[in-house]
Amino acid sequence: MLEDYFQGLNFNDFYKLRDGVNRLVSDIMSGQYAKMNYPLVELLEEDDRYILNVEVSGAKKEDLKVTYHENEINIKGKRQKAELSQNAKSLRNELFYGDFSRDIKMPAEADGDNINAEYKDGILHLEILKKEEAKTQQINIDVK
Amino acid sequence: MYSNVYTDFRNSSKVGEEKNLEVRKPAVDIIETQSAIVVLAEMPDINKQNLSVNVKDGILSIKGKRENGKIYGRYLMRETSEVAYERHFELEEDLDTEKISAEYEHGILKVTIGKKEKVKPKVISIN
Repeated sequence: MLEDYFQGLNFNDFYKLRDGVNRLVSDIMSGQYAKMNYPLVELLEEDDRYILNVEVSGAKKEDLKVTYHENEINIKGKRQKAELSQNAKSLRNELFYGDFSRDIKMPAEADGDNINAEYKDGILHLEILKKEEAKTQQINIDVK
Repeated sequence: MYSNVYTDFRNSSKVGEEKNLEVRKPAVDIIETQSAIVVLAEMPDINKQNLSVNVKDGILSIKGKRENGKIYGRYLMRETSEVAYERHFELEEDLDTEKISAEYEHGILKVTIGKKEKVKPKVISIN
């Protein structure tokens, strides 16, 4: 991603280099250097399942891949830049494009054989059931 | 020519006040084609009714509120947050604010603003 700042740079060209550094610094300061190649997640625990939401906006459903191995969920995908027509030019480029990958360690109670995935509005939503024996058992106690 | 199209215009915000949501500028790509300017803004997980795109006094404003539904469980990890996205752009005068369209897909808001058709020079034939 650093290439974005120093594209087509001939290192003899001090001014371009200075400009690239300035933009990089200002983008880091303003939080725009968020072109991360790993997606952000949230993991929730409910009584009988875990909910994992992964932020992958811009990715198409067919470009997402979810695998489970030894209590670890791996999410892979890519965000492809739309083809620009011949006369089009890019005026600003803050979005991340390319491959991303993220491993998320799941608690031991997660059942890798019971995972459901949905994709909507840029969020990959996974529901991972807990293993049967790990589900919170509700015990009713008679109050005398 | 379009040096101004991406000028962020205001920082003040009203969209976040109700719930004290953090206000954040969405990351954008801006593309100029022969006939239009296209703005792609990354605003994941927003219900369409919480999205707004409008143009007033030559300023394009895009806003969106990201709110979690009811949470039943407890967080084990949380890197995302409820947020109010907001960003403003000053539009060049040769853009036609009547020709504006927006769509939302895969968490990306796409706004297309057409350019005004240039008045063609009148050719006067010489007899």
